[in-house]
Amino acid sequence: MARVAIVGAGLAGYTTARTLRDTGYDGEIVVVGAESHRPYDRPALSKSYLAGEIDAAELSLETAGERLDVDWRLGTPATGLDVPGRTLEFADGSTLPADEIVLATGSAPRRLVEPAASAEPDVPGRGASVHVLDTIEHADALRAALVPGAAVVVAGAGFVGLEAAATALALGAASVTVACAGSAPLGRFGAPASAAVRTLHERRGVRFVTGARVAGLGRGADGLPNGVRLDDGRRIEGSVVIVGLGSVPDTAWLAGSGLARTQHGAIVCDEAGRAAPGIHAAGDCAAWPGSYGGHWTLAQEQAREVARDIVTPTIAPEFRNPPYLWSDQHGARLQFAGRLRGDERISLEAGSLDDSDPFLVYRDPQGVEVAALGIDQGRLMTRWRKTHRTPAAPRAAVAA
Amino acid sequence: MQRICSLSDLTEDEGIRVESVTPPIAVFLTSEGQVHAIDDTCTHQNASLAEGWLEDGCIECPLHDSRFSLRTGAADAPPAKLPVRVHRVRVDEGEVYVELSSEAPNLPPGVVY
Repeated sequence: MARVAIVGAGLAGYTTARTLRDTGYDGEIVVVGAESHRPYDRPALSKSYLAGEIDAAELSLETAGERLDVDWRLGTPATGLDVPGRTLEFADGSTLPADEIVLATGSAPRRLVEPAASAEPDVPGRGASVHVLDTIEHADALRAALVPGAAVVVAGAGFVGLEAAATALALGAASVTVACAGSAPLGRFGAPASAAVRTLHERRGVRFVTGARVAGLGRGADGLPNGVRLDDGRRIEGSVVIVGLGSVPDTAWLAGSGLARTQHGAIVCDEAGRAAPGIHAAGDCAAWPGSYGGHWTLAQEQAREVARDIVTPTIAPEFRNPPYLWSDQHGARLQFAGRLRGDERISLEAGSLDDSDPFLVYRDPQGVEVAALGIDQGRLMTRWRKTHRTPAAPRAAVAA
Repeated sequence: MQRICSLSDLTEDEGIRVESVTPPIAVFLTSEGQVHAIDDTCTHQNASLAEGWLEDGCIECPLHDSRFSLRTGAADAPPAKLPVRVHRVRVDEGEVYVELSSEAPNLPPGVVY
């Protein structure tokens, strides 16, 4: 094995490279990144980095003095993949063959206005400024727009939207209104969690508009964006629009590769992250069996497993952690672990909803604990996560 | 060395946060009966490591999965990058004594004691 090429220089790509070195791989590692930055940590983009509490250097995933001996090829997105030839292709016609290729291109935020489908401006500077939040540049642009007195409209009540809403308020926004498609924010976590999160935000002054499915930008008489337009005709006006409508796997460049992708575009893998012989995928762009993507810890875990699988394909992890995600909003720490189908019974086992510090346990109809959610309940959440690990299935040998 | 707590204050495989020193420290009792003391605040973000998960000689931060060695203080993987300080511990007649590290603590951004 002489060369591993990793496509994507985010958390999954970085973790793959680091784990390869940690497990003794001494061949060549090339990391190809679409962005010009060395690997950085994205969760802070909607929180401490947006708030100006930490700078870009502090976002770096690399440790000072770390020697990964990686050939970084940044600002050069891969444009194609020859699967049987295990070769990456680039816009300038160059190619990069490798013995093993790891696809870790992550995801891209859904935009309110698809630039390719419409001439509507999706840039700041004309009317209300419209923002997504996925890169350092996005966060810098949003921070510049969040001047004291800004009227902020957040399209979408998921984690990025809620975090950005909280940060916008802390930065002095005059008003923050969140357009929430369902009847409450984070509805998929059930009514008690939704209520606690809503209370947390409303007590600080965030306003929710529920049943609000965002159809597009709203426009004033001058034709310039002035907020968002809902599918029932209502409008929410503001000077800054933050689009937090989720993300999609960044895999359009693989369209001609023949690799199987899900309906959302994620690369279909087996339980070791193998998509084809010599081709692996990890993180937001990957669909492993039974996992839903889009979360930090999952990207890190999958990247570690892919690296270990490349070095020692027969060794499977001892156990798997339940899916885990976290979010910081108004200084409160929300944590969730497990999987939900929607038919669980939810019980409050510590804290309270009114005080926005619940510890909720979700049980399936058979009474089995399948998930837990806590706000400022770190000790209980950690214990739940660790006592609900599942033994991993033994691993099949590599297909020839 | 200064007395920090009693051995009987500790629960096996758990940590306690001690605020009588600055910055606060976390004291752990392992299932092998060993007592360890490190800075309590994760170097990545303000979280109490005493609330974390103790396993294989490491404490995992209750928030974001970085694990710190109780022997060296080193962080294993992001998001934490810097080590926590490790403090020398002596247990004498059921009392836990600690000699605080003379190094500068690696407190996360925005955390001041």
